Amino acid sequence: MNSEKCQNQEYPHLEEALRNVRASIHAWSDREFVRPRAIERSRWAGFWQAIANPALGGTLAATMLVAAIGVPVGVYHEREVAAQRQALELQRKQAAEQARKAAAAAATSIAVDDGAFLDDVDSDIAQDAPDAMQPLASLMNDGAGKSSRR
Amino acid sequence: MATTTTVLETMGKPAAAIAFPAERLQNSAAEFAEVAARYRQQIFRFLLASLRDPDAAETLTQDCLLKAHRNWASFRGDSSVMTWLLRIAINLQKDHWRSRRLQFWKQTNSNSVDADDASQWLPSGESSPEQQAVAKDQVRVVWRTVENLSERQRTVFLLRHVEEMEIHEIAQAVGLSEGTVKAHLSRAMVRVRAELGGKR
Repeated sequence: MNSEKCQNQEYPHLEEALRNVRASIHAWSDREFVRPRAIERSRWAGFWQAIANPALGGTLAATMLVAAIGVPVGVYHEREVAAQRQALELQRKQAAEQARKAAAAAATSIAVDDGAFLDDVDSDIAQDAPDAMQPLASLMNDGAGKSSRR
Repeated sequence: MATTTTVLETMGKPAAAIAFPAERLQNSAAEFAEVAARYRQQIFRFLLASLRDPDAAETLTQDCLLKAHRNWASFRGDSSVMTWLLRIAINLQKDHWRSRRLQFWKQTNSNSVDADDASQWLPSGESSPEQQAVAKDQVRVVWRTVENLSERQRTVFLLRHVEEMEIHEIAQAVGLSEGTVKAHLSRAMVRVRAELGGKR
């Protein structure tokens, strides 16, 4: 330490300069230490402050909870309704198809019945027409038998 | 308050020589508040002279005290409280420089002080305008020289000539041997002397 002082004494202006630097820095520090300093608010400071507010934070949390639960439930409900609607539509189409098929079947059966009925009528009223040559044919058969015997 | 003063006065003694009273743990919060109030300005001054940025110095002072508060219970009194706090501050300052080097493309130096402005805080005293002009010139030269020193040389120089700490205290604060501290200080003084000599 003494050697340091001896060295500095060789340069008297050095001691003076160091003293001035020290005084300058101390004065600057004293002034800056008591100076009010503006705190720069970050972009998210307001957001986090609002979150920290119990009422607003609670409301926001409740809203987020409702949204988190409500949106999926709503989507599920919407899909359920759509599925029910599609099922009803399918049932309606199947019923219509069945009705159409039943009507067609009924129409066919009626047509078949008409034909049978007409056949019945025809069979009832129809008579076997006698062969016009039948009496003569029988006579001819009788005459041929007599002549051969002769 | 009496207990706090006693504890603070014994901090410089070896840990084995200090009998920690049971009340110390109970009063640790009050003790630390006393320590923070007593040494805050000195920590701020060192960081301000080192970083030349009042806002950064204020932030690092807060960080230093926060870190010290967290580790207050583990402080054993191997060194003085001020040396211990300065060691924390020096480590924080190193981290700060490192992060600034990584972010060199950003304009993080907006609040730093120019060497030309450094002399404006020089107390005028009763000196003549000519003497004041010479003194301001000297401050400006030393300020610029210190800025160009290596980080370790600058720290040692500031602790020695601004905080007026002894070599062994500086060695404890920076975690180097006394010989290494003297070597750094000597190199720093050579440069300051050369700059001042060239100026004359």
